[in-house]
Amino acid sequence: MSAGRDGVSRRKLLAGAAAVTASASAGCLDRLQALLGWRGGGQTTVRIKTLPADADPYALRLARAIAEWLTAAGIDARIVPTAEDELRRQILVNHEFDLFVGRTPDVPREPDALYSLLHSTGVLAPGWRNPFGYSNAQADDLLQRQRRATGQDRRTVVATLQETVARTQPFSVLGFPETIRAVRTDRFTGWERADLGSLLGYLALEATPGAGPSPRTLRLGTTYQQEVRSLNPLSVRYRDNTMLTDLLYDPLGRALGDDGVEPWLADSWEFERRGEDLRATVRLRPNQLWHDGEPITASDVAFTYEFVADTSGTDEDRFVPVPRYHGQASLVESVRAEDLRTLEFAFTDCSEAVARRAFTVPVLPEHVWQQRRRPATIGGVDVGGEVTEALVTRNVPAVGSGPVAFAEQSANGGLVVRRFDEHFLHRTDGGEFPAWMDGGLPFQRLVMRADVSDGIIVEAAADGTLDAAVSGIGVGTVDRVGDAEKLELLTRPSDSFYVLGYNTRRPPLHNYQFRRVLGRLLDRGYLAEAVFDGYATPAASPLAGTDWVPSELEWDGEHPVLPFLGSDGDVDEEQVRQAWQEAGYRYEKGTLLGR
Amino acid sequence: MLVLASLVFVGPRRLRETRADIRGRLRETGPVVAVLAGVLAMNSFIRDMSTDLSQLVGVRITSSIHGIEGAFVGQVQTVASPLLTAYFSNVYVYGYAFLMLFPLVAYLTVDDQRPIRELTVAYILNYGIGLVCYLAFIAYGPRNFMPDVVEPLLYTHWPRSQLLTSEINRNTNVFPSLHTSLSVTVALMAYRTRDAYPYWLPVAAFIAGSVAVSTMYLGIHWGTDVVAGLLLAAGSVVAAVRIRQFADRHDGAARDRFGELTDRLR
Repeated sequence: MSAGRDGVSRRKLLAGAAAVTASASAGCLDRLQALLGWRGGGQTTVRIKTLPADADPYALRLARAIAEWLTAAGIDARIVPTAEDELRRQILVNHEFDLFVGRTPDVPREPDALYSLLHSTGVLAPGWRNPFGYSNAQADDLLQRQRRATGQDRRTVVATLQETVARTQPFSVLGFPETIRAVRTDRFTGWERADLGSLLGYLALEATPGAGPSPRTLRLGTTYQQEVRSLNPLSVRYRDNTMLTDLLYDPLGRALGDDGVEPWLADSWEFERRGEDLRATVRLRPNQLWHDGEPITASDVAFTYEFVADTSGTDEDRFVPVPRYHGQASLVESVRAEDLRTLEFAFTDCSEAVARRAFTVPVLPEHVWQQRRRPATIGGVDVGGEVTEALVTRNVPAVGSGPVAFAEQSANGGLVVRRFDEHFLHRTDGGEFPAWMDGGLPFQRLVMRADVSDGIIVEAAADGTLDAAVSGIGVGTVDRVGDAEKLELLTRPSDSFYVLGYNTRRPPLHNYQFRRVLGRLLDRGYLAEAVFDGYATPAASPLAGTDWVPSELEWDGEHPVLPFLGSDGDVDEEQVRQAWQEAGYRYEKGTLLGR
Repeated sequence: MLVLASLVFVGPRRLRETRADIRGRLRETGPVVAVLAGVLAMNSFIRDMSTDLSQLVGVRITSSIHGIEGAFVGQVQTVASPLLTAYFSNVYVYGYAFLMLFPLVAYLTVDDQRPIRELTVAYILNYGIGLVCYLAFIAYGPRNFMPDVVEPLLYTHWPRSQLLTSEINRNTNVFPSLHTSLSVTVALMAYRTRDAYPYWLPVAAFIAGSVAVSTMYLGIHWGTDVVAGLLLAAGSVVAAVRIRQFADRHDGAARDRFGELTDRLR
């Protein structure tokens, strides 16, 4: 009898132990440590999460350099390399981290892009909506004000905003990398004209006689597996830069040159201001079709805006917006379809220049996405039923309205799209376009191949089986491009920057004084040379490289607000001691004490 | 290479004899080889599934390993030269495959079928325990953890090999090194069968040593993984011998009982 009871209790004990081990390793310990902010000897501990070197050529090397500086400043800093899917879950959904090294989404550098990145209303939201948990009343106010201010007023507001961000450091900018690509010019030319990360880069291409008669195929290689695995323009990704969805889906407007967003799928738009109210009447291009042959109507557009604001639809209890387009969606008050081609937009309190940004959301076909409102059953994103099918579907085959249409997904990690001949770019009655995109896409088919390393892709481009390696290649592979006879190296500054993100929800990172010292432990100039091999620009502001940066935040060989506590990549102990002391922390015998 | 080695180490006479008696030998060894085939077939499937599970329950130990040994692998790489890189790359891919397959052929050709059963059981133990470790520990190799110190030599030297290895394995499966443990298992078995194959022992030991060094030289494994691999190999071989002995006794008892039964029926 007693033996039986023993057996049961032992089983229970084992099950309990297993459960404890499982939950402990799943982040509980991590959290406990973070809550206490210190461990055993009282030393402050931080974990830096980032991608392994296989998945990102720079992230882990940045993290290593940073960990070394933090260690030199008395912090017990450890790196936790983590797979991409898991990082997305931990950092962008569950916010289980102290520090992370990653890349921000690839969106044009403009002041309003900071709205969804930093506004405090995004503290609990998944995705790249304030993953830092930053809440600063002044910053919120400035983020609102830059939306409605115009002219010199807006410049002043945006300058103050950048200074606030630099002072309080919700994240530290590590540098703007250049995207390095390898291309060959025997079949297609014009690679350098526009950014190959977006549709425009491909419109600017020209086929040479060497490309052969039609059907002409453009063959591209990428190291980013998600590019061919998922064609969902709404999904939450750790790295937010997919080029194929930009070719498959058209927004109402695109930034074609330096004049801001211009009509694209829209034929024209007219803004009208009545007091505080800003409205716009948008006319769609006539006779446009989805890739499945259905006509594009104004109600598809109205649906799209309502959908990205809340994918769950009529359900009162749930509210599931699309994090990726939150910035744009938050500008729109309402969208109404007046007739088949006309829409009436009402905007929140903002200027016309900012309102145009709302037109860059990819327009979705209502008849396809309407069915994706139900809660996601299998959790690619784990937020306890708070996710709809729309955010996690792989969306293959994709039905869009862009100049290419889905053709097939091949078994060996490739994706094929075909030129969509019904697209306005490819029709004679399409209208006027800049000369460099004349004739639309110069190929009938585009094959995208995903491989595990940039070495393989560069090799394939060198021997002529690919025309270009379009996802960025690492500096380690640059030599090989130079060695290959037919390959050309193409570099282009990227809009997405490397960031050291702080979880400001957790002590001691909740204290801006602490984050400022961390910000001063980064030798950004050294990183640009030692890690990026010169293929990056150090910066003090997320808007660096634009004319929005005030002179006080211009990079002048050193961070103007948070200069490095040392020189040439070496931390100076005396400076560190002083900095910790001024920030109100106890630094004794080379260790930073948590309490 | 396999054919050549078979002729050199085994000799044509034994090969001919084996062909004559292949049925009988397969009957004796068949079950355990079938289990191994099953384990291997399930292996890839389980690995796919276990990566997700591992992310949930696994303990992240990369920084602990780094804490133990530091930049040791970086030091191993200081001797790097193109010739050595070519040698170790080939050992890592081909030498290892040869080392795994050849003993299966060689042991099938000896009359004594105990070695092949022991070897197969040892393979199963290696894979089984390795898989559990991969589930329990999440660790990235040195090339993924300290790219500033360690070069991914296999992939820079020979990019396409990454296609092959990424098909077979995930980059979080480094602790312990199964390359090391399986190679050393073969070498230990070669020691046990040195009477039947005296020349195989030094060859197996040399290749096994090279494979173990190559995993570190190429930046794929930590020194800690290799040590764990050695321990796993030793443990597997000892356990495999015990299991084989136990099975023999059990087998004998079963046969006796069967004999008694037929006697009584008569």
